[in-house]
Parts: sequence; structure tokens; C-alpha cells
Amino acid sequence: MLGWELPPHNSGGLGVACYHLAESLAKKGANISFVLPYDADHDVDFMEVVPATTLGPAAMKFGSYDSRTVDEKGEFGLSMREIQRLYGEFIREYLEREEVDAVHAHDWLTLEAGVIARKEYGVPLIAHVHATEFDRAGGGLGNPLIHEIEREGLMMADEVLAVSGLTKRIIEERYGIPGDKIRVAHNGFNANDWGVHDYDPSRYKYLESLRRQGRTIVATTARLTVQKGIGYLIDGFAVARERHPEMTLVIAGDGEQRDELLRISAEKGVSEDVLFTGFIRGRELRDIYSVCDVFVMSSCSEPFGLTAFEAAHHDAALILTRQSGAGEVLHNALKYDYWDTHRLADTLYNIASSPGLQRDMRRSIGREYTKLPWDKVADLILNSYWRWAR
Amino acid sequence: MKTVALSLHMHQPWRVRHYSMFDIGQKSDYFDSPAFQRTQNKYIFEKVAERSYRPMLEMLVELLETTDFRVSLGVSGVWLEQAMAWRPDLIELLQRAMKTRRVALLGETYYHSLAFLYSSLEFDRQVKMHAEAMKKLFGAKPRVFCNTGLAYNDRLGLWADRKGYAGVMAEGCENVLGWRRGGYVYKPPKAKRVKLLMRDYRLSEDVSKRFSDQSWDGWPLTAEKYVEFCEAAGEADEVVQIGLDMEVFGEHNGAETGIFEFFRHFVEQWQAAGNRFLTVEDATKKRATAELTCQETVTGADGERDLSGWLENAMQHEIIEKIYALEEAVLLRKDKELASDWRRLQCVENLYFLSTKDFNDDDGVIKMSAYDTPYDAFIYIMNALRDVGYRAGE
Repeated sequence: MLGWELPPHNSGGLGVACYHLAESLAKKGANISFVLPYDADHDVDFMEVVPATTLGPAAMKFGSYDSRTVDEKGEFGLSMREIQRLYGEFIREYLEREEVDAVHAHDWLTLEAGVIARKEYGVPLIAHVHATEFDRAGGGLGNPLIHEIEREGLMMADEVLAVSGLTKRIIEERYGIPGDKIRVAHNGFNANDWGVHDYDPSRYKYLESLRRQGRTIVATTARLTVQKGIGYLIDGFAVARERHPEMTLVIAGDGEQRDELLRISAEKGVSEDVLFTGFIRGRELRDIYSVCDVFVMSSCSEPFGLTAFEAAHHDAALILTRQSGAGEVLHNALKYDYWDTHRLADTLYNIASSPGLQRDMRRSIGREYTKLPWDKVADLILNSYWRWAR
Repeated sequence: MKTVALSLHMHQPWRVRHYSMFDIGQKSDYFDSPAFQRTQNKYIFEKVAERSYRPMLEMLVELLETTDFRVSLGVSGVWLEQAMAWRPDLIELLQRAMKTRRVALLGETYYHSLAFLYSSLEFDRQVKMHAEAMKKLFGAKPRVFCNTGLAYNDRLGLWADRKGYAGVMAEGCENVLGWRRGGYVYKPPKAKRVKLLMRDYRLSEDVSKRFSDQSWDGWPLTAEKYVEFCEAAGEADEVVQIGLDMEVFGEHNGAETGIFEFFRHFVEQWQAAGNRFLTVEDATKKRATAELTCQETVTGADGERDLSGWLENAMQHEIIEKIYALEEAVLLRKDKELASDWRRLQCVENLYFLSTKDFNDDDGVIKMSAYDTPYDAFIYIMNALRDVGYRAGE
């Protein structure tokens, strides 16, 4: 399995998804060598972690997501492209001495190495797409080099796994890959790993006092970029508030769009009731999930959307855009098209003014989100392994 | 000789279109759905009319005119409204059936509502409206009462007795019947005249649920087999009560399943074997064998045979409470259209669409609904009720 990161050295969701997936596959008997571009200690006993370089994790500080800076030198004088070349070299070396049944590559980051395995060594290639460059570009064009890598890798792959039907459509439409070569493998969520969060209401006196006064707390957590559709969310929130003033919107996260979002909420006259928390993670993130009544995922294009599951785990009602992968598997949620601010407003208004709707949504999603563990995803992927393994 | 009383029910709700909060106070066209929504009442009615109502009614008329067949029909007021608007030919067929004098009409609420549980005054009004519609169109008076979804309890039994009905229908489930047999006629405690008729839900659901179920060991259900089942179900002095929705024929089970031929052959062979059909009204002439007590409401809803498909979750309670909280304000306005809109919203389907019971169960089967989720349904119906409240000056 070709990966780019694993917790705790991860910069985002890719490492987490790979970890859970590999763990479930290993539990079901798959023998996995997990290749990483850096060398570090991982507390992992279910598979072999293989470093492709001798670099430490600090050399990877550019992260997996910012595709615009692939040629910039990192901390140790190596750019992402250079590390990818080393990674590819290592795969050659590795396949010279080791026998593998199939190669499972995650995202464009490792796809070139996967192509080397396929082309030069004839190893079956399964390409797993967590996000395409079109998603990362958020409506923009994205990096043409990465498009090229994605196109070639997906063409060469024996099978493509997409994290959602939405991603599958993008791969079909934008890269011209035939649909019958692509399988949808939605991500999973292991509720047990999350346990119970001991939320302490006394830490959030202001929000809790609003709540006691009967206010509905609406929250979203995201990088503040155009892709996440938060401008539309503020629009819809402002319209809903005209009918039902007892609402507060909490926006957790940071990003280049923050100042613009502040300006939008001031222009709409709701800045008093829109709170920006800045970048948060861990305990504080879980607190936000716990303090809110409704969680909105407003993305214009969201290949999957793990945050929806996290919010459901903390007992929030969900509103998701139809442009999100999570919305394909979570049925007990209200959905809207990201640009349809009127429908969003109607939804927020009804949830805020009807305790019954809110209660039933929370209750039902609370039962549903646990039914999609990684084990089920692993079954589907094992099936692909059996199909392609040499 | 064995006896079967067959009741067929015709009903279609008025579905609420995707009615948003921006429509509240602006327009009140809740039931005029645009073409791309699954709430198009006209489209649905005409489709079911073509697939089910028309072929079935034609067959019933033919069987009534040419054989000794007898049947009981339940026709909701909202079904009539839609038939009059879009398919008056169905009403003519019903009138031809009535002319044979072998048909009994069932009494019910005009709006297919659960008013009985929330407002006895409104319940009485809706029953009266229905009886008047029956009189006007078919010249007959319903003598047997069948509440929405077969919802029944002792209170309803006594109510029917007081109103002078000859009979009242209930689901023949075990927790009411106990060790008794469903084919006999009973009476509610303290009732003077009214008889209690118990539907045989197993025999009824052999057709409605299992006719196309290939995993059922009785599949395929032939007319011969069903004659045997019905003969085995009752003693000579019993009347086996079979109750079915008309849509079972042609809609839930398409014509290609052979359901129409099955029905025709069953009716013919049942009589050829020396057995006969009765209407529910005929059945009430039998002597009541015992009193049956039923304190908790039972219904014909599959599974739990209680109200839980309509009144379980918080959304359903919120909607129904809002509906009946508006009663006084709506009726004080003396605005016919407003009252009609308010009543159309009382259709039990508007509660069924909100059920989260089977929504997305383990097999990922999503129940039949005009909406994507129960929550969407709630938003549209609640918005419509808000508009009703606005029009009523609330």
C-alpha cells in the first residue's frame, strides 16, 4: 500500500483514512506493507511500515493538500516533487527484491510510484482517490501537472476506488475514465475509536447561556476556502434569521477566505451572531461539535466529509450539501445544493423553530452513523484485491 | 358452505408540494405540485387510475352484474375529490356497481384522518361530510363504519353504537381476539346494537403483501390455493373478513403478476365450490357471539398493529398537535377553502411520511414516500400549516 502519511505525522484526513483502512484490511487477513515517504516510529503492529527515504517527518511540512507549491523547497531543501521522485526510486528497488500481489496507491501523491509498479513490474494497480485536483482547486483549474499525473495514473490503474459517487463522476467526466472501472468505496467511521467526549459546559458560558435562552447553535468546521461554501452558508443563515432571530452561527477553522467571510457577515447584518473561533483541533473541536444543535457541511465539492460523522458522533443534527460524499451514505440528514441559500434558510428556520424535528434528526442520525464502520469498507476492498491479485 | 366478506378501500391523499417558508403568507397552493416533484397528485391519481382503479372497477361491475358476487367498498372523500376532478369515469363505474344492489358502502372520515383521537367534534363533522357525499353520489348510506387505517378501540365501538351503525370494523389481531375466532361477529362492551367485525389480516395480507413475494412458501398464490385457505379459515357459521386496498390490484402488484386473473378466478371458483360472498352489512345480521374489549387502540398497520407508524416520533406529534390547535381559529373564519385546506392536511399520510421507523433500516430499504426524507416532509407540511395559521389570523 502506497501512502503519504500516517498519524501522528499527518496533516489531514488522508493519513487517518489510510490508517483505519489498513487496520481493517489487516484484521481480515491482508498482508500489508505500507510505504511512507519519511522515516519515523509508528505505533502500528498490524502491518509493516516501510520508509521510502531516510528523511524525518519534519521534511514533509508542506502537507498533502497544498498542490500549488509542489516545487517549493521544504525544510530540508527537498521539494515535494523531489521526494516523490525518491519515493518512485524506492518502489523500483523494493519490487526488485520483494514479491507483492497488488499495489494500492492513495491519491496523486503516490500514483506515479504506482504507475512504475504497473508499467515496469506488471503489478496490478488499484488507485484509490480521496480527492482529485478538481476538488482541491475548489472551482479553479488546479495544477496542470497534477491533472496529468492523475489522468495517467487513473488510466493505467486496473481498478479505481473513489470515496464517493461524486468523486466517481468527477473521474469519469473530467478524466474520461470508463465508469465500469471505478468502484465507489465510501470511507468508514469507527464510532468506538472516538469514545465519549466529556464535554464541560462550564467552559462555554456564553454559548451555553445563549442556548438556555432558547437559541439554536449552528456550527460548521472547515478550512475557510471557497471550496467549503461558507459564504453561501452565511447568506442562508442571514435569511433564516430574519424569520427566526434566535440563532447563532459558529464557524470553526481558518483559511484565506476568513476576512471575506467576516465582511459578508457584516454586510448581511448578522456579524453579532456569527462567531469565528479560528483554527481549532482535538478537544476544542469536539467541544464545538458538542455545543452545537445543528452541524452544516456547506461544501461546494466534498469528496467525502468526515466532519459530518464526527458531528453526528457528538449528537448534532446534520445539514449537508448534495455535493458531499457523506450525504450519499447518511440518509437521516437534510440536504441542499450548496448554492440554494433559500432552501438552506428554510431548513435552518424549521430546525430552529421545531424541537420535534431537531430531536428526531439527532436521534436518527445517532443510530445511523455507527452502521458504516471501516470493516465494511475493507470487505469491499478485499474483494478488489481478490479480483486483481497476481 | 363457507362465507367471505370482502372489503375494498379506495383512497389517495392530497400530497403537499415542496412548500417553502418563502411561500408562507404569499400563496396557499399546497397541493398544486410542479411537474418535477413526486408530490404531483394529478399524475399519481391518473397513473393509479389507469393501472388499478379502472380495470379493477370494470371487473367488479362485470362480476356483480353476472354472478352472485357481493362486495363492500370504502371510498374516501379525498379520493372522490380527485376522481371528480380528473377521472369522473371512475365515479360512473362506482355508480354502476351500486345499481346492482350487491354493494355495501363503508362509513369513514371524509379526509382519512385520525380526528377521532384528537377532536371528537371534528371527527363527527368529517364522518357526516363523508356520509353526505355517499348519499349524493351513490344514493346510499353507510351502515358499517371503518375508521382510518382500521384504528379501533372501545370508545369508537360505543360511538358507532350511539350513531346507529349496524357494524364497525377492527383488525382481528391476537391481543384483541385472544383465543376467539375472528370469523364470528362480536360486540363492543356495553353496546346495544352495533356488531364488531374482525378483519382476517393473515388472509388479507396473503394477497396484499405476499402475492408477489417469491420467498413466501405459499408463492405462487393461485385462485385454487386461496379458495382452500379461505375455506380452512372459517367454520360454516363464520364470515371471513378480507380487507384490501384497491391499489393492491394493478399498482402494488402490476397486471403482469397475474393479480387481476387471480382475483377473477378466485371469485368464480369460490362460488363454483358452493361458497358465497356477503357484504359487511349482511355480516352484521349474524348474532354476536360475545363481547370483545379493546382499550388500547389497534390498527391495521402491518408489523405492530398500533398507531406507531403515524404517531410515534416527535415530528408526528408536533404536526398533529399543531393541526388540532388550529381547529377553532380555522373554523371561526367560516372560509370554506381554508377549512378544506386544513382538513386535507389531516390525511394520515401526512403523518406516515414523517415516520422514521423504517427509514433507512439495515437493508438500506427506504420506505415509499413522496419525499426524500421524513425531515423534508416535515418542513413542507409544517410550512403549509404555518400558512393555514396565518390565514386563520393566528
